[in-house]
Amino acid sequence: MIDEPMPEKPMYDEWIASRRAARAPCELTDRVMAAVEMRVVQRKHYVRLADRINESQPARMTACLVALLVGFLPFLFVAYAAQSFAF
Amino acid sequence: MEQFHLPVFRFARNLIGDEHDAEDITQEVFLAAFNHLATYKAERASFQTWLFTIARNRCVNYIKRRRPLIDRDAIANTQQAANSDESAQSEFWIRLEKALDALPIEQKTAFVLAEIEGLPYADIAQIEQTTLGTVKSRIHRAKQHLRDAMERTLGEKK
Repeated sequence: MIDEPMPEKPMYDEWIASRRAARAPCELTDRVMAAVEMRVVQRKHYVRLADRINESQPARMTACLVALLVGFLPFLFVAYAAQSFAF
Repeated sequence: MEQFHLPVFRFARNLIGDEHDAEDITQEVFLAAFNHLATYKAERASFQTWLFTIARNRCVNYIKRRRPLIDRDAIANTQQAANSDESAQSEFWIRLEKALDALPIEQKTAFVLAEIEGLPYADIAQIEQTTLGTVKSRIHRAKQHLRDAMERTLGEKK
């Protein structure tokens, strides 16, 4: 598969060069770094929370209670909705 | 990071055409890379190739999602008015831009990675998750489309 030469090669090369010359805005690096840093902080926050739950018994019990409450929510909704129907 | 963000930005910019969206995609690429850093295997691909793979997938998703909103003609007219002295070159470039935009996405990504980013074909095959032969054929076809566009412009001038 041999490529035929481009017509007006100098103009084509200039176009390619112009596309290669695209510069990123100066603040992009800072923006990306800040976003990554924020993700690191969030991750640390979750890790700290998980550690706290793991180490303290009251925290473990609270987490279980919250999980149970959330798990019960659909049943509570069904029970509430069932009241509106007459069987 | 600085040595990688420019190629990723340039790749996204050349692929999707919009500078602001290219910035957003660059940011998303680095966040995704950071989140999945544990899955990166240095023996399989270079870090840059891995980043380009993420960037390519993000750009392809973006292009599939977006509605056709780029009014290249309007941009072209503005550019032509601004640079009347360079109208011949502008016209030529506009045709090339349009031809590049009209390329199927797999040809476009392969062309941008090879011609603008200057990546080896083997790396492009990894990024595109295809064979070397397919990459060569995609680039060949992309160049053929651009050549046709250039020849049409030259034909109209004569």
